Amino acid sequence: MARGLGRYIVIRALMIIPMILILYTIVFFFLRVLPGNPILAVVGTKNIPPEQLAHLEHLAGLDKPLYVQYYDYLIKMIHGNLGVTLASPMGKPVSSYIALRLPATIELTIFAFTVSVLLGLATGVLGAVRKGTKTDTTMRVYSIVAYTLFIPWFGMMLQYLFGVKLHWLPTSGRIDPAINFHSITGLYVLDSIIQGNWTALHSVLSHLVLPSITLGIVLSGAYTRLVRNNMVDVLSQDFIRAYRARGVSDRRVLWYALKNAFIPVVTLMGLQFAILLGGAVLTETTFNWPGMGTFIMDRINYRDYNSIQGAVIVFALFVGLISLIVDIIYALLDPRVEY
Amino acid sequence: MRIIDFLIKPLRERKPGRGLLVFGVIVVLTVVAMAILAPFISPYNPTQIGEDIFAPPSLKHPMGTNNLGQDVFSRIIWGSRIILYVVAVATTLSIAIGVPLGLLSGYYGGKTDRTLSMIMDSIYSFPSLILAIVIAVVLGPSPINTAVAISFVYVPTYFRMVRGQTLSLKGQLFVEAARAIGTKSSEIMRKYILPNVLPTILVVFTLSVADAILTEAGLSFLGLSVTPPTPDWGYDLHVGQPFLLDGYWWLAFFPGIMIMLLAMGFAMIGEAINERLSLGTR
Amino acid sequence: MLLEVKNLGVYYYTLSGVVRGAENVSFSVREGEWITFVGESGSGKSTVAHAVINLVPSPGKIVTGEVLFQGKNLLAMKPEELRKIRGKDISMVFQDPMTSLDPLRKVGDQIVEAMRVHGVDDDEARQRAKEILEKVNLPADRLDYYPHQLSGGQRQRISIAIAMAFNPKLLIADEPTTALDVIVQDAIMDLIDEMKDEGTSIYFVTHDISLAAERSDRIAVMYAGELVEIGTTEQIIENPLHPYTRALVESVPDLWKESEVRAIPGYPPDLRNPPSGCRFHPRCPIFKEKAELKGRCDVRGPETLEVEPGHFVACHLYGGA
Repeated sequence: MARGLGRYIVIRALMIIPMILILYTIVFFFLRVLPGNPILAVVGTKNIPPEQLAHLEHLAGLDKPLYVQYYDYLIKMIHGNLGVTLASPMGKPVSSYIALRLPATIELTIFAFTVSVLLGLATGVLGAVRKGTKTDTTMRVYSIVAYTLFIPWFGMMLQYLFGVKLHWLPTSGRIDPAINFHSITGLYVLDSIIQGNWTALHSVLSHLVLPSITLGIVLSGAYTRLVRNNMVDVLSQDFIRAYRARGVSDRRVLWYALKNAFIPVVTLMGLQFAILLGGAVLTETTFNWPGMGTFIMDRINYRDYNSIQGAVIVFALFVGLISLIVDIIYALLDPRVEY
Repeated sequence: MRIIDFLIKPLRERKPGRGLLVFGVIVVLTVVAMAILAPFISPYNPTQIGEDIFAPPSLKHPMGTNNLGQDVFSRIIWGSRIILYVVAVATTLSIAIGVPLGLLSGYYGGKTDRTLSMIMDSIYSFPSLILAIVIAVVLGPSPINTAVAISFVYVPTYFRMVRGQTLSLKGQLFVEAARAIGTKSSEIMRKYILPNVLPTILVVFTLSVADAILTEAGLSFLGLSVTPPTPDWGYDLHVGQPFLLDGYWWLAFFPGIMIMLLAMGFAMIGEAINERLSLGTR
Repeated sequence: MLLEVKNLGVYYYTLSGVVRGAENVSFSVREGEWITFVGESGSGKSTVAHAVINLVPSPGKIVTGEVLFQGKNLLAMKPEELRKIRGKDISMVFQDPMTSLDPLRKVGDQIVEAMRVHGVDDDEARQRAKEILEKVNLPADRLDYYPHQLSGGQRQRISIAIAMAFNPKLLIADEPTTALDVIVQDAIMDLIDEMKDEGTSIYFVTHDISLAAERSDRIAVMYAGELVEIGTTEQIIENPLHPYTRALVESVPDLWKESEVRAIPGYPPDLRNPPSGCRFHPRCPIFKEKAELKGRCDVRGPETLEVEPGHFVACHLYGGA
């Protein structure tokens, strides 16, 4: 069994490779093949001496044929090198920027993900056990409304309410800059706990509240609906009544039902995570959160195509890893999965 | 047409879920009417800069004025045109590409099908907004470019669904019978498979339109869709953000609520039709 | 009397109206006997079986009546009290072995849990799980299997094994063999028979009257949510009184050799709006033949009468006036 699982994990992990290659190709195509010279776009004028342009192009590797560029970058990518920035400042490794920004996004998405799953489970189970009542309808409307909330708008309303009106919570950034804090991993919550810096932890957590609730609520709608429908399905099955008929208590029966209803939810998580990352870009912009989303938007202002390309590849890797983890959890949870 | 029936019948019948549908249809029709009638119902020129800046909502300016003294209500009315236009073009493009590709790929199978499916799955599993951002950046800010960027990320949604349905329909008796009597492949796809896929396309359409609206709003919020002074809900929300924190809530509140209402309208119609066809939900 | 059901009524509150799943159902089950409930699907036979241990599936609700088990009303019991009876004194086996075990848990854990909820400690429960598995003719290693690794018949054996765990006073078996093929069916029936031999009363539900005739002591016939006839197996098979029972018995070729196989014309009624009077009258061949029954069968519901000792029927043909 354990060997089978190991094999399954390796095969699943290998399946991430074509996905990353395909996305790399698409982005490379869009960024390089379409008209427009990135260097000129960076410089912002066509009136630069040709030799300087040639020099800049050479620095960026843009003087080589396309297929060579494609191949070179691919080889570099395998070695974990995502190229150098094309602008402001030029020639810095993209990966060093990403190393700074990625932890912020990971921290935000972990919290938002937790909020969305917990909320989705709670509202979905409530709808299912009160099936056909007003509560059920309310949960259903909640699911649609949450799903269609526009992240920046919802975030702003929370900022206005809890930041401007009530002064309860900060509305931008990750930590109060006045606090003396040194980050090791980039994950501020983890770092402040390791260092026992409770002032910092308090600040970090209070900065996390609004962005992760914004993103979490929006993402919870899809879970609400799926959990509710699965739960209704499971609750109507014979084995639930069989449990009751054996004298198993209602609370335990609900727990077993939840476990069964949860399995399809696990498969949704992989896909939801991609949507979560997309939503993170909007959340980061709204809350001025120094993560990957704001990084992409910054680099877009400089037309720094290398950085954008690097960021997309990191996102693809991120999504691939998450779907791998989701599949492993699924295989562990459901004995019916053959591996 | 049968497709229309899916809309009309549940509207008339008193069944649970009807409220959702009625709400959705009213919202969507109102926004469409706003877009069509914009020149007649808009009280001001939406790009007209005025001296009366940051005026709170009043009878004169039902939704107040913005930092440039433009009438927010007029900008909302005209802004409906951009979002509807972008989403309509984007959705048409995605369907026009995704549906035939899915049909052919699912019907003929083989290596091309596998490669295509792999590409589509990769795009599908990647955060659509981020991919749309990259494409929109390269193409430059304009409504048609935004539409192209959005259409690109929704092609896989249609492709996967149509391909899956085609695969299962292909194995069914009536299709095999048609093949056995020598019906041409093109005819089988057109006459036997496509009509059976249509209801699902309709559901995916209404649900993904809601998504596309949010994506369009996202792109324009990030400043990648239109250039000022074009009235656009997402962009106006972006412009309104810093002023919201100063207490001028109406600049951001109204564009945002419109984006949500429109997305919600489509989502509710989709939900109601979905229930009607009972595709996966009860 | 082990079980007495008095005036039981179960309604399903669906979106399209109130379905009167069972009404005015009264009967009793004696100690050590095998009673079989027969009827078409939708006749309310399963509904009543589930109502006996207060497990009517949503949106069903028990609206009238009482269920006296050893003199105590199960329907008025606190949940905790009822929980102690379920699985210990009264066990239940469900129709579909594919769905009546939790797919995520090993069958051994499910058997052990059934004992642990009634206070058996873990070691003893594991030991006894092996013993009862042997009783239902399954190797002990099956305890470590997940339900999907077992065949339908094996799963049904597991369900019966769980039901046997405490040597219950009453076993409710809701069409336990319907989803199985004939050979497996027989083996399952044998297992239930063995339980009867050890003193358990069997409350069996089936749509198949020949299966009912095989092993039961008594047969109860249900139609459209009502109990129409009840008697010993001999009485019901040899001397069916209700026209519906007759039709059922005649529909089985081996039992009634000279007549052909006959399906009962018409359909069971819509229980959201059941027919007036006797619910069977729109399909009743005698009502159609005899004009004098007009104004009686289609107007007034029949009383239940004891026509011969222990043989009850609800039909105007036997009502005298």
